[in-house]
Amino acid sequence: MEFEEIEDEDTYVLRELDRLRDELSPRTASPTSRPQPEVIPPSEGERTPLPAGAPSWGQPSPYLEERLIIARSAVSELVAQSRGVGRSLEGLRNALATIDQELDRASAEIGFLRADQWEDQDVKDVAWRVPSPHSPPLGHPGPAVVPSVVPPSRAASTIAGSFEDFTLERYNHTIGDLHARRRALGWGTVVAAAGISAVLLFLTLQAHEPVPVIWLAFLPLVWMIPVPFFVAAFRGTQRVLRRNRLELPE
Amino acid sequence: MRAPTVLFQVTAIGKNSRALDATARSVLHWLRYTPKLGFRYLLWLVVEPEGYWSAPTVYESLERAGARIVVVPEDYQTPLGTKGKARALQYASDLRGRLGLSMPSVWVYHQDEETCVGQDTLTGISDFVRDGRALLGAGIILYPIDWTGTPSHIQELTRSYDDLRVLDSMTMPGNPTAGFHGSHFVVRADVEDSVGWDSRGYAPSEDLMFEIRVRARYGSVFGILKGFAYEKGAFSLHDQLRQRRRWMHGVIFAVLHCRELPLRRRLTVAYSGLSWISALPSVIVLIASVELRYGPLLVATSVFTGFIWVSMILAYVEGYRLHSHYLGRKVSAPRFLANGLVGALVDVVAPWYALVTRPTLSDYIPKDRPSDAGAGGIAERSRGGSTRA
Repeated sequence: MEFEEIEDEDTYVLRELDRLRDELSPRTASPTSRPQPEVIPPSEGERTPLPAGAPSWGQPSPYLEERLIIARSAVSELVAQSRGVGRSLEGLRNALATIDQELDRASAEIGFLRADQWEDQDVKDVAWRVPSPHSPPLGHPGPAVVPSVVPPSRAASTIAGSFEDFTLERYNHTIGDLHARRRALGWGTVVAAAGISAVLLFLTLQAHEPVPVIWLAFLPLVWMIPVPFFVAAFRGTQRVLRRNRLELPE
Repeated sequence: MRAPTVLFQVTAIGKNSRALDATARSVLHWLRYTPKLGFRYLLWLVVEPEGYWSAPTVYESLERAGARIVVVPEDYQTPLGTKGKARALQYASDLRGRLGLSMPSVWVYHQDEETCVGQDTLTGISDFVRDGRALLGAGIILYPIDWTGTPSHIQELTRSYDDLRVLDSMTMPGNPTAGFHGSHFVVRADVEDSVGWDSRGYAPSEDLMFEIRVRARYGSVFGILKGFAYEKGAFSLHDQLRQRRRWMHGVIFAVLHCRELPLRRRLTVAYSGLSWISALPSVIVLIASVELRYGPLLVATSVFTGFIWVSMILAYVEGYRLHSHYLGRKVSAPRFLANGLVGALVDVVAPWYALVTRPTLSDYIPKDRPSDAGAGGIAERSRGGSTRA
């Protein structure tokens, strides 16, 4: 709500109150407008007695109730608007704090880039390519806790795997575990494969089945086609884990 | 020394707007919350007009957040007339050339609609581009997003463990087991733009073609990109089947039509396809042995059977362990086993399905979770899909 609107609201309330006062003025005359009758101060809970000899004022205006209702609703609206203004001010304060923190990070980032000795000319070259004012800034030192300009995307109730969970720590933990069990995977595969093959070979030999017609020999050959692929995959997996530490600096 | 700029490029049709939104926001989020990244960045969303118009407010919102929306003009044609994703990739490459971004200090990180990044991804990219020794790097992809333990999701776990094989093969001269990704790889812009994505007609696996060309032109310049990328598996078995069909057609296309493919490499690519095709006959041979009783012939095969079985089981177990810190949902062992078997059977049947049917340009794999899509109001919820997919 704009300030002018609040002001209008205020004026409206005051106008309504004036009307009320005009309506009621004969009964609740102000001390400045008429002499104060002698009144005994009421005890607590007692109603104020009318002064003796009070004139008869006739019937109240038929609009009195309506005006009172309007005035009450306007007052409640005014209270609500005041709270809104309070919240807006709080939002502004947060935004200012964010700007302040981002400026600190930008300074730190400039320090980081300068420490890396990028050539000034290069910076000029790509200056037009740095993110638009709407873009969040480049990387900054240390995890931030400020409210994000980009709406947090716990992607519309995704069942699993929100990108906010994909942290460096989790990656290093996962990849570290994999590295740690590389030998076990290698030897485990060899031992388990040998065991299964031995059992199958034993069963095949124990079956004492007659030698089938020779043309059937192509069937096991078909079966063997992917074997080199699997062997290469096993070897490659072991090699890539042995040669490369895939962890990243945190 | 030049300050590197990393261009995060999401290339897709763009119809999976929520997945794409999450992808872009993951980049923006972690650029903000990852300390000391040694690069500047740009974020490009390269989409088709129909993708853009499926959720314009999502794209407008992303533009306001700092992304550049690049809509591939309908009338855009490459010199060789390539179609599909390769066309969009070529358009982005042309655009980089026009903007003066095809230079050694600019790196392009390729993402699919549903390739979310993490803090580790960005740190890995920073590490890679600042090292600068390799010209192209790929890493391991996990599939934890929207993971529900369905057969296709369980099958996807094995791909992450298989990525170790991919990384080894990719960094070896000749790429002996034909390993590469269509997403989660970073390449120097001048290298990508000099090679390009153009090919005659529709290349179903543009990523394989690209890897072949880079290797043919620059040699073994591939490195390992540390850090995971985070994607999501196909939601249904049918989608899984169509996705694998496209891969198989990509292999066939490369073997038959890629002129840059040297003979030796052509043989290894053909063999990798053949070994996949042989999976179904292998299962049939195994089952038939019960009836045909050709036991003595199995003496030789039984020596290797244990190894094949253990390798396959290991892929599931280790795939699951790689994902275990990321999956919000656990599945019971019997369900894991049953769904794993179903998922594996689809992969066994897929190359044969590919031999009898063809992928089309209109094939697109839904990556917006079905339950969300049904709720409507894509744009306003604005949350976060593949063609490698």
